[in-house]
Amino acid sequence: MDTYSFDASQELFSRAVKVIPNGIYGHTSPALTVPGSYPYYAVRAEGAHYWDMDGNRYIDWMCAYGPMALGYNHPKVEEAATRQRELGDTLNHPAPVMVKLAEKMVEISDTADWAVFGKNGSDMTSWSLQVAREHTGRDKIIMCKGAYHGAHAWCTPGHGGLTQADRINVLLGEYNNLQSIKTLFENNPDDVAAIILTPFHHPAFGDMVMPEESWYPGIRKLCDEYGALLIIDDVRAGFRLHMGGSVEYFNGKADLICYSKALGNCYPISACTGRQAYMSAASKVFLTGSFWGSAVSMAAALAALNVMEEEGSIEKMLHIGTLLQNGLKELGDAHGMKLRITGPPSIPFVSFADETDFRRNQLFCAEVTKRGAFFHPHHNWFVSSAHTEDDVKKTLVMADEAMKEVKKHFG
Amino acid sequence: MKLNPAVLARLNLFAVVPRMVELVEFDQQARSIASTCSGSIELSARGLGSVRLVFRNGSLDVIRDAGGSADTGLWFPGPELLNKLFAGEKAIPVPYVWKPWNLPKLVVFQKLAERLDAMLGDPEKALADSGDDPKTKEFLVRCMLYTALAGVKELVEYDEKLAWFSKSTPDGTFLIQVAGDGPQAHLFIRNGVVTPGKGPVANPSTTLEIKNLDIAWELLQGRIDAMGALGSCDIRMTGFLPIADNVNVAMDRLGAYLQPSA
Repeated sequence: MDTYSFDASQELFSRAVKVIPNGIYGHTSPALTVPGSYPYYAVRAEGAHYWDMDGNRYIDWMCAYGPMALGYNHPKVEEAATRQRELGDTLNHPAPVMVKLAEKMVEISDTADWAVFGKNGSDMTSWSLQVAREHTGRDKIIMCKGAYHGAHAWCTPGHGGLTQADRINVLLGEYNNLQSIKTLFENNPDDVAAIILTPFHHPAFGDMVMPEESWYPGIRKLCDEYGALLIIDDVRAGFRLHMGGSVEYFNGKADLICYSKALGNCYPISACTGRQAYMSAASKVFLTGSFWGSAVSMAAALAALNVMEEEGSIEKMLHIGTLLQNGLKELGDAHGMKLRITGPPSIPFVSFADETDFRRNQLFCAEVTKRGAFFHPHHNWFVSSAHTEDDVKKTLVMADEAMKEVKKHFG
Repeated sequence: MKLNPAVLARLNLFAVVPRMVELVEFDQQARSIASTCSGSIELSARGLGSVRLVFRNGSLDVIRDAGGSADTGLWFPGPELLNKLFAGEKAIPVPYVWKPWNLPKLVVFQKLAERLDAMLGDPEKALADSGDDPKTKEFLVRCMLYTALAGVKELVEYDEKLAWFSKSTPDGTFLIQVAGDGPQAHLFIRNGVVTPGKGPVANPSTTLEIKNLDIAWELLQGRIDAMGALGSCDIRMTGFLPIADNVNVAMDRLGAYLQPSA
């Protein structure tokens, strides 16, 4: 099988570093993959596939790092977006679609009595903390070590431009360790406004950790006992496990839920939903952005939610994800290299068992990517409802060759 | 940018002064100076600790916080005075000369310091003066790598801006190597404590490999953008990348201290 080259990507990147700090910043930085074996720029996409600027086509197992849930350019989503674009996008007033979208979000979730909208996950996670603080009159927030809740100062994994004050009200507990959370509450009995959790733990450069059975009941009990809110950051996992919020998949009940990524099927939108009890506090926390009223994104999100329900997209993702996981595990076994796959099938994290430095994974994912299926060596992957069994089959052929390369290199 | 003079003094004492070892090994002129001396000279500053230069048969060892007493030395009442001296400004430390015949050792130190400054203070000129000698380039790159990694240790332990480092950097070993038998240096990181080392290390958790000596030189002179070099594969990072991310932040901070005009 021929492997791809990336000359055009590299050429453009060499121009980019002269005019853009780091050339490409954030999670799509080449530094986070394997430079030389990955594309840096994408030019178009369709369904479960995309093309880079060297003309290479990929089966996309990263789904734009999550936002692509139904396939790129899904006809129903695009039709709704186009219709709204022709009417108007960013206007003096919200478009009527904003109300329809809020009604839809309330309809699909047991714990949503209202909804607000922003552009990115960080918009909503940060705003939700303010709502909790407004409601409780308290300052402190509990989050789990290693959890990613966005790029704002209180939670960014970066280090630049921060002050000590930025995190002074953030207490760190351990995921799945109820005692660690209980201790934080006990030590700050009147100060904790909320605990913010991802529905399952998806740290950077590490295995996914699914919640233990006692986790959510225990967290709920602690929140109720101490009068704190439970905020679920469903930005990454939302609409890949449960339509009403991923925490429902784990039998948890949240007070506020933050969404983004899959919500708009690649249109920029985020949302926070909440229970009635917090609507008054929500109304007191200023919330706006120049483009947060963008009607096109809202129309796309509304259409996307409808398609997800109509097509049973989550079941499809789980099915395809399971096929991919099983196929990869079998390949690993056949090549004498055990894979470790954690997380739900629709959002898997793949690495080599007994390996902590990712070197084999870096080579494996690079070799698969160079053959036409985009695998990330350090980040969880995403499955969409546009992926087919044929995509899985083709990917496994590439993975088989990649395994041989890994075997050759590492023995 | 707000810099801590005590941290700069630590960098001068524990990252720059030890490069005299490599200097004496490589540079004929420095070796000649060193060969005139036998015994030990100590530099110490209040609250910072000390480095002792031990001369023996023309070679030099540098020992941190050696204990006991050196033959002679210079004591600095505070970091500012020490930094002034290293910046080439007029600064008069307190010499401790136990025996009058040890006084010339301080002159040896001064001459070596001048030679070190001539080589590492302006490496471009040093390389040009050598006629672009590849061995000189290798020496300069090696010294800069050693200085950088020794500096990282001081920064992550004492610079407030990097107080997060020890809590958020996983255990591991970080190797920087210049491909093609070029210089290598590494860091051990255990429980947030950093220990720099010269040369290779077995089974590094993270490797930063620079394609060749010329690329390394251009990078260290700031003429190549590190991210651009990564994108074009002139630099390769493999292994557990979060270690490299954190060390890179510390290295950037080092630039603020050692190249304040950059």
